[in-house]
Formats: sequence, C-alpha cells, structure tokens
Amino acid sequence: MSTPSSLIAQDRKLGWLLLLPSLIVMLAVILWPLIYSFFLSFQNLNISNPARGREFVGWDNYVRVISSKPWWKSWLRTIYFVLADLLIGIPLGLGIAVLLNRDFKLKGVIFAIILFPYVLAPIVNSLIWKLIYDPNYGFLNGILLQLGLIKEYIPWLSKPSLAIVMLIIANLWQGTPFAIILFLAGLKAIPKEEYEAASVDGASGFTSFWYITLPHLKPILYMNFVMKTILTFKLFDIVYSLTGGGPGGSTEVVGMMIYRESFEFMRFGVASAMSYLLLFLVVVLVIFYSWAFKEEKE
Amino acid sequence: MSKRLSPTKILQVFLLLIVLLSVLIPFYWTLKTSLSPEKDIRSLPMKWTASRLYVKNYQNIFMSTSKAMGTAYTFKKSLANSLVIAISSTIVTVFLGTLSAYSITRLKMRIGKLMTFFILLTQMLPPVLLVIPLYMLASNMNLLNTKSILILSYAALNLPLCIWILRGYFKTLPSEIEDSALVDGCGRLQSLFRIVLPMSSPALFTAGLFVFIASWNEFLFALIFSSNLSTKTLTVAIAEMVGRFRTDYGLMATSGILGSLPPLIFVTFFQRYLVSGITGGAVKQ
Repeated sequence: MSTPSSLIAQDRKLGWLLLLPSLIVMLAVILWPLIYSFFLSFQNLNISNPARGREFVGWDNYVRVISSKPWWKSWLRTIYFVLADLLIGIPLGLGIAVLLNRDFKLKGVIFAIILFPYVLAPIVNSLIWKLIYDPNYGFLNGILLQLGLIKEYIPWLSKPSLAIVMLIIANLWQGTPFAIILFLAGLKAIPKEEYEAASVDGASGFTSFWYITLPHLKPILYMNFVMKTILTFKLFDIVYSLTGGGPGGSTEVVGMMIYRESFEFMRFGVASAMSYLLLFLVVVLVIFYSWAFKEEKE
Repeated sequence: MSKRLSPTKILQVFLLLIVLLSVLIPFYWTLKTSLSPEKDIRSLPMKWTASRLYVKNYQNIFMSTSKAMGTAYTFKKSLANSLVIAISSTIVTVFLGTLSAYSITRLKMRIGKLMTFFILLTQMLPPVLLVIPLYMLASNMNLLNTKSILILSYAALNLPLCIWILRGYFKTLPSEIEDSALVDGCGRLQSLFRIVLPMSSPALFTAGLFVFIASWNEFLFALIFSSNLSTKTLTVAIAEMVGRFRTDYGLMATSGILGSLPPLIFVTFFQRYLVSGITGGAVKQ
C-alpha cells in the first residue's frame, strides 16, 4: 500500500504532537532537575546565610566529600549491605524459584503469597519489621524466648553490630520475590529436551543444574545483579524509618547520608555532589557487570 | 509414576512450607497486632493470638472526624490523599503513555531507544538529584504541599516504563484493521481511541497497575513535598509513627494493614499482569 507523502508528513506532525505531553513532563521532572543539580554540585547555596547568595566553588564540594571520613564509612556499610544482598538474595531467589518451578496444587495461591512482600511500600515493610524487632513486645524476642534460644530479650535495632543485619533481613524479605519472578521466567524458558537428553546420558540432577540450568540463566543472573546493585546502593526508605541511620551512625548508608546532607543540613551543593558520585559508581558497576557477563558467554 | 511420597518430595514440601511461613508470619503478626487490645500487645510472655477480636483501631481511623482525634485522623486523611494522588497519577500516566506509545509504534516516531534510556536512568539515579531542584522550584512557585506536584512527579517517573509496556503490546496488534479504517477515511486519533484502545485493555491494565502501586508506595518525594495534612500521603504518615520511640502499636499496625491492602488485592487477583509486566520489562532487554 503506497501512502501519499502528504499523509506521511501529517503523521509526523501528529506523532510529535502525541509525544509532546510526555516529553514535556519527563523533561520537567527528570532531565531539567538532573542538569540543574549537576550545576548545584559545583555551587555553595549558603542557605543559612542568604545575604552571601550562591557562589561557584568549582570542585570544592566533591573534594570535601571525598576527603571526609564519614562518607567512606557510609560506603563501607553500604557495600556490606549490597554484598549481603547479592550473596544471600540471589541464591535464595534462585533456590525458591527452582522449588516453585513445577506443577503442584495451589500453585497460583502460593505464588501470589510469595509475591506479597514485593508489592508493599518499603515504609510498610519497615512497619512490619518494627513490630517483629520490637525489644519488648516484638515477635522475634517472643518466639526465641519461647523456644528457649535466648534467655533475655535482645534490643535488635539498638545494637550497632546487629542493627544493620536486621535491616538486611528486612530488605531481603521484600526484595527476594523480584528475584524469584525473574528466575522463574528464566527457568520456564529452558527447553525441556535438554534435561531429557541429559538424563538419558545419565546426568545427575546436580550436573544438569550446573551445565544446563545455570548457563541458560546467565542473562537472568545479570539482570538480578544489576537491579539489586542499583536498588541497594540507593537504599533509603527502610533505613530512614527503622533506624534513622542509628544507633550511633551504624546504619548510616550512603542513601541516608545524602538525605541528611540535603534535607536536614540543607547543603544542596554537597548533597548533589554526593549523589553524582553515587550515580557514577552505579553506572561503572553496571558497565562492569555487562562486561563480565558478556566475557563469560564466549 | 508412583504416588508414594519420595524423600525429595517431602523435602520440597517442607522447604516450601518454610518459605510460606517466613512470608506469612510477619503479615500475621501485623494483622494480629492491629486486632488486639493494648493489654494483649503488651502482654508478657508474648501471645500468639488476640484474646478477642478488637476492631477499635479500625473504627478509630475510619470514624475520626477532626484533628482532635490526633493520629487516627491523620491516617484517615492521608489514606484519602494517597488514594487521590495514586489514582490521578495513574490516569495521567496511562493517558499520556498511550498517546506516546501509539506515536512510537504506529506513527514510527523513532524514540524507542530514548525510552529505554529513560527507564535505565530513572532506575539508576539517586532520587535526591531530582528532589532538590524540584523542591527549590516548588517552594519558589508555592507548589509545596499541593497534590499536583506529586501527581506530576509520579507521572514523569513512571511514564518511561508505562510507554515501554504499552509499546510492546501495540506492536503485537495486527495493523490491518487500523489500515483499512484509515483507508475508509477514519482519522488517526479516531482509530487510536476506537480501534487500538479497545483491543489493548490488558496492556492498559498492566501499565496502570504498575503506576498505581509505585505511586501508592512512593516515599521520598512525598516526604519532601507533602508536610501538611491536606497532602500528606499514607507512607509519610506511617513513617512518622514508625520513627517514634513510644508509639501506639495497635494503631500503627492498623495503618500498615490498610496501606498494604491495595497492593495485596492487586497481587492476589492480577498476579498474571504484574508478572508479565516485570518479566516483559526486565527479561527481554
């Protein structure tokens, strides 16, 4: 079917017209702020001293951030958090997906239940875990005492070494269903014939898992690494509401620190610099993952 | 195959049971707390069940009428605010997303790559980078504490994914019906609303589901942009209470149950749409 050129021109005009509202909204809320905060990261706004107004300070904000000790400490905590999330969350997600990847009664209901934590607001997740971890009336202390595993109640969120572990558990509880969904989709896509051929050849369950399942799941593993890394590095909601970065700063991860810098101390320039450093690192990591996963494929 | 239970089977059932319990117990505990009188909540040793069904917390939230009711009233107001904001941003986003997706697939506007870029960008960037400039702009323009700034923000943040879901679906629709309608003199917009949209309800629904849940659950933007009762969202109201040292556990648990109801209803009844949206958006890249 040949379309007259006037119609094509009309289509182009309409095409732009239909895109325009979306583009304007995204420009206003995403692109413009991004550029603006990039410039902010080189400025000092002097909000506490409006008479001085804004000044351009060059790389000062970045230098100040990089040379500050709390900044690197919060990075260590964040990396601890991310590593725990990757090393526990991904195998856990894969394990549960393998468990679910067969037909059994009530599968739909069970799958829906397993997805529950994932659709909750992170703030509601915090609320639930606050009720579990509560030192006096929480479920965790209650059950551990009833099982005779502890002799007295433990203040889970007030001990610096414990608090971050408790946050990691709460975060895994919410994040693992996403991994399960991805892994299940990946498992379903593996052709059954490969397993049948392998079992004819006498391969054990473990062998076929190692040589058939895992290689097929490589793109899914990649997606999991990328998503978990992105999300956990900027983790904020549950830290803010469960511990507020405490006790004694022991859970002050990078996302929390950036928030305090911006909306507690109102140092927008420094906070922008921190955020750009974080974005930079996440981009580098994602590029690294793409490289690492591609390399192994060949 | 024999029907007898093999050891592997028993192990599988056992593991599955552990998984289910670890998901359900936290929910059960929250629900139980919300339905327990204060003395049950504070009883030592811990009680597994409520001594009687106590719905006072729910009543307090729904019946509260004025600021005199304190926190319960805050929850009622913020529940309504969250509903208005989430529904509005869902409608705006799906509407704008439909126009864009149609433009990309049928009018061959080549900005599909740009959308993928925006999806990645919105996932990766620390949200403070957007919140700071928007906060400065909004406070200059007296837009703080309005619902519209939140609706607009959620629309923008969710548009890339929404367009992506709709685009994927529009591509699968046969273009013959539309082509013949166009030959018959039907305009592009007419064909979008009369032919394409009626065929696209699953995709519209999936996209809407994602936008609604994301808007309903969002916290940081809401925290910065809505501090008074006329706009405060449920997540902000809950966070205030969770952050307090001494707090009314029953009321807090009730707000958590109410806040998790919409997403839980969605995942129970529309699991398929949710999963297809996630795997379509993540696996195919």
